[in-house]
Amino acid sequence: MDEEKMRKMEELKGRMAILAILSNALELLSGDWARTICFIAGKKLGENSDVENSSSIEEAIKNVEPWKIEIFENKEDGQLIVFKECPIRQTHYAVCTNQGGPLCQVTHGYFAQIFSKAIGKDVKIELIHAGPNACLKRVVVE
Amino acid sequence: MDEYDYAIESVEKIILSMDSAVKEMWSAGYTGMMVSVGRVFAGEESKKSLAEDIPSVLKEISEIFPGMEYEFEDGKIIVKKCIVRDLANKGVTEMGGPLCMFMKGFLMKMIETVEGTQRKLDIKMGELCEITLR
Repeated sequence: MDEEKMRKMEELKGRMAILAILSNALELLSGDWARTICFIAGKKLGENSDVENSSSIEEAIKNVEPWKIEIFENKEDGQLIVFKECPIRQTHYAVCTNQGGPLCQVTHGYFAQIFSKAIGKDVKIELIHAGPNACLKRVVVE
Repeated sequence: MDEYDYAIESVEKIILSMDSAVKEMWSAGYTGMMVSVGRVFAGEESKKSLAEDIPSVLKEISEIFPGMEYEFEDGKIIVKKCIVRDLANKGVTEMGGPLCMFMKGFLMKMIETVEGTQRKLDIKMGELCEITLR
């Protein structure tokens, strides 16, 4: 790997460490409330994102980079979605924080905002399985 | 823009929204809180520390947080490279914001542990932040 790439990787790792600090600090200061605050932070991210307006969840998931997600199954109680690439999961593995912790709520908040903007209804994201290479989540339209 | 730049930018956007969530939640009260959090984290790290003096503790902090670089001269600490300052220059956070206060608390506790006495840090922020110990 050339020097420039190494420098950028170090820079990225430094930023991920900062993200983990903020999440851990929130957990230390406010306990379970950290999840809510992270969810709100995710919603803000969704509000400010330049993702193009879409009319359905299927349409919305096409423009959510750097996340890469796809619909796994349509069930009566909601759509199952596979999160193949996620900057939050990469942060967990880069700086050794716990998957499924408050930081994951940033992803949930982000997608709740993007999806609810797309379909005009409140949306809830539930974690079904968190894995090293992908996560399975359920999108529940309320 | 390559994939690394894109990843860095994405993580910075998440930091920005987390940082503003902290500020909104606690308003101005975040200052003392983040210093305390920094001290708590440093308390854990200092258990593993092998540092015996200030220059070596500064070196350890640079290893814990990639992107930080300090210099100790004439009883003053010069922050030569700082990840928080870089982020502030990009508008992701602000100088003296939650992350800055975290770093202050962390540094304070690490120095106190190595010196065995309580210290206060006077920080003069600028292009190269200057920290005076008292």
